[in-house]
Amino acid sequence: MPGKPFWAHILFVCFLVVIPTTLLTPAQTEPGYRIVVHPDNPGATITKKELKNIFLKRMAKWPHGEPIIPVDLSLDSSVRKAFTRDIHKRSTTSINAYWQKRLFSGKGVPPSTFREETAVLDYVKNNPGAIGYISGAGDAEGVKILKVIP
Amino acid sequence: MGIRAFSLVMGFLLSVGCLSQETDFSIHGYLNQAYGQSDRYQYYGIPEDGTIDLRNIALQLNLKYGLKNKLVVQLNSRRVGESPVGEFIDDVELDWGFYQYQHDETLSLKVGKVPLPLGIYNEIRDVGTVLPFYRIPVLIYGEGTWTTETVDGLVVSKGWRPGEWLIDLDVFYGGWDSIVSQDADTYIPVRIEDGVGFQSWVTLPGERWRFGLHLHQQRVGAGSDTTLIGENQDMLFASAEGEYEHFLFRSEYHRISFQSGNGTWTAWYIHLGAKFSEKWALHFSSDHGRIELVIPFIGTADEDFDDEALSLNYSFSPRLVLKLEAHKTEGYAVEGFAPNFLFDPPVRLDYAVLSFSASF
Repeated sequence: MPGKPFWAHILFVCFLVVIPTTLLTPAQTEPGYRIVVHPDNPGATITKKELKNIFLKRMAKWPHGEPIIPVDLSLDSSVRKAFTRDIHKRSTTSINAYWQKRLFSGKGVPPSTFREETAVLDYVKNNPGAIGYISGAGDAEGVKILKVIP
Repeated sequence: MGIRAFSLVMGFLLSVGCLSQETDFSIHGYLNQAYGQSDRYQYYGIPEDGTIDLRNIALQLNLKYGLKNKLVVQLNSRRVGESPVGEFIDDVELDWGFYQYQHDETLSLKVGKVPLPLGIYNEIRDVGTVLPFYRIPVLIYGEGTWTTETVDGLVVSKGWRPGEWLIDLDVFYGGWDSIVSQDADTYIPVRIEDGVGFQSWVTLPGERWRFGLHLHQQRVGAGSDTTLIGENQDMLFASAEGEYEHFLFRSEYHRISFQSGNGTWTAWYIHLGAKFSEKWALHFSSDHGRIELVIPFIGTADEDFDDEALSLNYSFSPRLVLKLEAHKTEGYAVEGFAPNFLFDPPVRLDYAVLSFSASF
């Protein structure tokens, strides 16, 4: 492996592979989301900062004293991508990396993850401290929707 | 740690987790597997004819009881290729295991074998899915030598949230097992005692940039088979990290002062990363180390070590990553014939690593 040509070849191959793949990645539209909590939760609104702190597990209790249990949708969910972009100002990849670092340094465990919105709704209905998010449209019977304020 | 002990820990955590309504039990883990080959000589376990014996597997068990009590155990199986450090590593080891008391949202106490808060990488040194290269900067963190992952003792953590700023402080005390390199081929296990210090982090508003400082003092304990027994050592880590959607910057400065030979080891690195998309990322790292010793009748001797690297990462998903990296090195960290840094010229070699990382 000689000096400069070695690095030049490596760089050339990197860009040859990366750039076309990047350009071919389809743009994704981000649908809205709704915040759902247990019907007994006395709140009506929630701020984006509170949501950020809850889903990063920096806030552990509701103002009425109930322990908060945040639940996420899976990483590939378009609703999660929209929620993460709006609340954390990050990609889901970045938030996943944050949790990987917290998890494997023994500092914290990420929220439980569900693949289907119906599972999120069922969990929130059955756990008084739970909070989750679902898509902007569709049935949300049995849970309470919180209005998100800046 | 044997299979019997592992089974006992698993059984205990599972049974407690299943019995109580207030408990929250979870299992996580990661795998980091690599193939490495150098173009001449052997470098930190990577030989000229290549090796696939580079691996890290960990299984973590988390048991949370209510809001305040947590028990965490992580088991690890690690292979370091042909490195002589391998003879000090068991097939399965207790990576760490501790009890945590969470007093409130900003104050906690951990007791047991606790991950040592040290710089950007010490606590996540084997978690391939969040690392830009297969290994963390080896001239800064060593490969199981000098620095350590854990402290047998306690760590008190406190956080402050003034406005949009985040300030975190970890204070620790305890001892740990470590390995001291006499030269690139000779390692001696030592017991570090009375390690005391802190790691602080200041995160700027927006949480894109953070700056860290780590200071600690340690003593090479009695019972260690080395002339270093009783020696006090001071260690400094200064860290800076910036992370944007498509750009990553990391840099750390490390200095350890030891009494023998009035010596110091100074090392630093700069790491730049470009994320082209959610799938592709390109990373460049430049690591440097310098040893300075005062040697009787000879005078002052100093020598440099360098490792420059480029890595292309492809993420099948955030939890499944493939990396191809190439390194150019110069220095004396060559295994197999141990060049003498006082009399021999530095050795140049290149090596490449192909690795695969997964986590759950």
